Amino acid sequence: MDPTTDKRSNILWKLQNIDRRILYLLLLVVVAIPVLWPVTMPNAIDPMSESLWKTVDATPPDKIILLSSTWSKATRGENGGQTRALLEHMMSRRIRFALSSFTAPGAQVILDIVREMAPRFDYVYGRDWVHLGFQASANNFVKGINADFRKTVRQDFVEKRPLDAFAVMEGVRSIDDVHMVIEISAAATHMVWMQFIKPGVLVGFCPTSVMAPESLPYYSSRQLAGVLWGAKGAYDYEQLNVRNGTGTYGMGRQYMAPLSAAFALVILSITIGNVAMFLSRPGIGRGGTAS
Amino acid sequence: MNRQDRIFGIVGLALAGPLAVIGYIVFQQPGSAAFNAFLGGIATLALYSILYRENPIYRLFEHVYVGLAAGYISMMAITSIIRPRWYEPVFEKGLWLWLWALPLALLAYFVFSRKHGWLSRIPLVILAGFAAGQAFQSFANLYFPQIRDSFRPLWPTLWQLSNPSPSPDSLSISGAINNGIFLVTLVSVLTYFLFSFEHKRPLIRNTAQLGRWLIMIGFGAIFGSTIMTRFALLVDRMSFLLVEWLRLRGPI
Amino acid sequence: MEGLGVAQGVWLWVAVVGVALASVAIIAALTRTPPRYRRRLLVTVCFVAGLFYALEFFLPTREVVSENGMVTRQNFLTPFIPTLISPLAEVLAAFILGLGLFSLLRIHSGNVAKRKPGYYNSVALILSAVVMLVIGLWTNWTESPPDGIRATYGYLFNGLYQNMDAAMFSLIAFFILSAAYRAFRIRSIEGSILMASALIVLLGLSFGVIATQGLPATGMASNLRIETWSSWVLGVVSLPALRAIDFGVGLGALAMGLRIWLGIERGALFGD
Repeated sequence: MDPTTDKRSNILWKLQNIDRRILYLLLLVVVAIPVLWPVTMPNAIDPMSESLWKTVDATPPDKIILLSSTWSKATRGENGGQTRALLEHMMSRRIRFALSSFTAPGAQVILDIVREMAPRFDYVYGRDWVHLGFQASANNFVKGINADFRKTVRQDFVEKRPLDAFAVMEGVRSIDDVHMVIEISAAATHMVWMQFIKPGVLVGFCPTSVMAPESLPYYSSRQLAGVLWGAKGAYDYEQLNVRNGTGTYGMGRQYMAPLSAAFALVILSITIGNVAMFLSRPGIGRGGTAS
Repeated sequence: MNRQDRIFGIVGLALAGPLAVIGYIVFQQPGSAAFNAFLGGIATLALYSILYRENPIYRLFEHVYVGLAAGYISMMAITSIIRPRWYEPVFEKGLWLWLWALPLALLAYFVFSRKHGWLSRIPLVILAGFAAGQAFQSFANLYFPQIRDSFRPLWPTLWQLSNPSPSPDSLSISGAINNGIFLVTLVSVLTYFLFSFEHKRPLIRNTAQLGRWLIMIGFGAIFGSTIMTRFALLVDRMSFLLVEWLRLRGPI
Repeated sequence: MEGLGVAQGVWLWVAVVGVALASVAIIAALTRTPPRYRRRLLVTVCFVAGLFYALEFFLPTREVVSENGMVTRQNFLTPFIPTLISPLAEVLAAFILGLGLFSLLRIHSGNVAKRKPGYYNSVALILSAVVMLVIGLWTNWTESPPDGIRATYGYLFNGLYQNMDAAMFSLIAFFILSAAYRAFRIRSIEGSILMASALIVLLGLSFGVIATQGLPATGMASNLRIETWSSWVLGVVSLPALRAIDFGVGLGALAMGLRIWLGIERGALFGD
């Protein structure tokens, strides 16, 4: 028999060379099923998420939270759940907040979410929250508000009026009147805050998972007051909200089952590839050449 | 374009065109979220067609995507930077000195000139200078607390295996062991990085080798979390396609 | 820069013409700079720009009570950051951004003119860029744009652009799966360590917790829970490893900053 046909008919060879389209199709199916028929996964809350929740919960009534939203619909799968969970917590505790963003789409996505949620909590624009808009120069925005909000941000994003026109900004002059800054981001924008914010101001960070390991050193050194680890962090925060009566379950819980199914597929396919490679080595099993 | 590509393209357009028209008739109120979802669904499928094979529909939508992105970024630069920071100060408040910013920035466009290309570097070195000047402050704020956090106690103060109520003042035996592992990892990875030439001394060579292995644990964590992010985005897209677009299940 | 120069009405247009003429003259003079002075000029400009922030950081500060009653520590350079330096950097960057759009359109209009294969894609690119720019400006610059324009902007931004962005980013999931399956073969110690660490982290973040959720959350047995493993890997080994890399990067960035500021770096900025 022709050695090539022999090789190709070998099951071990086939298992090492599954067509990518079959893998893609499997991935689509594996993700689609739990999206259509939601399953609740168990969860163990990470201390970093709890630390963020507690810091937000401790906001004194005379201070605001600055929520910086540097993400777009591209990373909604992780940042969307975090944003909603955080906002539910803040709105149910009637914490006043200001929004800002280091990217243009980031300013829009969070505005849409707050507008959708505001009526449920009777949050009125200008009284309970304000949007400072897209800040093109991140460094200078942070340095500017260390000293003075009004000099740094001439007008708000929604009504294009000076900040003095809004009741929520009454008594909020500089970063000293901000309890904490929370950066929800698809990139390493927490660095900007840590580099240029007045020392001692609390910073929370809600990155996509891919940025999370690199932000851990800053949580350990207390430069970050809390970190939400991507979609899992969103689930943690929702669970903390439910436990304390400050919110409900949402995207975080919904996405955990399809995510787990996809992880299982990755682990399985890596295992199959390796076991087949191992078995097809000369001397083990039959035939096949080691690569 | 070969024959197969052409068939793929014609079939794709023949499906997408009428769908777009039907979609517009069904959801025609302006700014409707349903019509947005409809457009998004078609665009997503068109881009996903690359998973089957390279094809003209994907190429077309890819180019549209790049065009929209370029138009959007330019539009935002104009409305959120040039207008409030340059146009309004000059033409509404009369601060004419700001006019100088325009020719200064336009120097960058000399990049297309072979002879005077060097002029394009003038605005760039100004920006580079600003960034370089801020390097000191950013280094100090970013890394001094990191260095402080890296000096960790190694001698337990609480002679128990683990600490039931961890606090900064009491260090259990396992805590001390963990701190030891922490320091060994930090030092060996630093060694691996700082002595990036060929290591002659066995102490440095072995430490660097250990660093190389330990760094893989860090990379493994990054790899795992990369998988998580990418899959979360896929889950969100599937949820968009199945729930928001096709409405195969109601919202929870 | 308030107060430095205000021109209204006709005087503003005099200033516009004056600045235009003066800049043409200055640029004409600059084009005649002998090659040996060019590098010196660039290095000087860069040094002066960097000097501002360096001095602002290093010079002693004193307490200043500002208009809003805030007490801040600043020196004589600090007030120039929000009024001059920061807007200047933003405006320069924004104008230079146009260069990107310009060269994109240049390349693709070239494709169309030469009827290169796939030139119709270039037509689509140019069209979508121009339509987005015009409709976007119409919507965001004017006070009350017509409903049709506002709706079209919504379709372009929320309907197409945002969804295409999300689709592009999510495509990578498929490629990661395929690449992980194909390339992730255990052939070395390093590869095995990497895989083990990735596996523990993934399991700890997701369904791994099911396997060990029966174990107590406190006491000795809690050490067998998968999330304890994953937080140990992340907090005790991965953290210092990534911090060490970060130190390397930080020192490199500082050194690079110094090299650029002092004009020692050649490369794209000061090279010939």
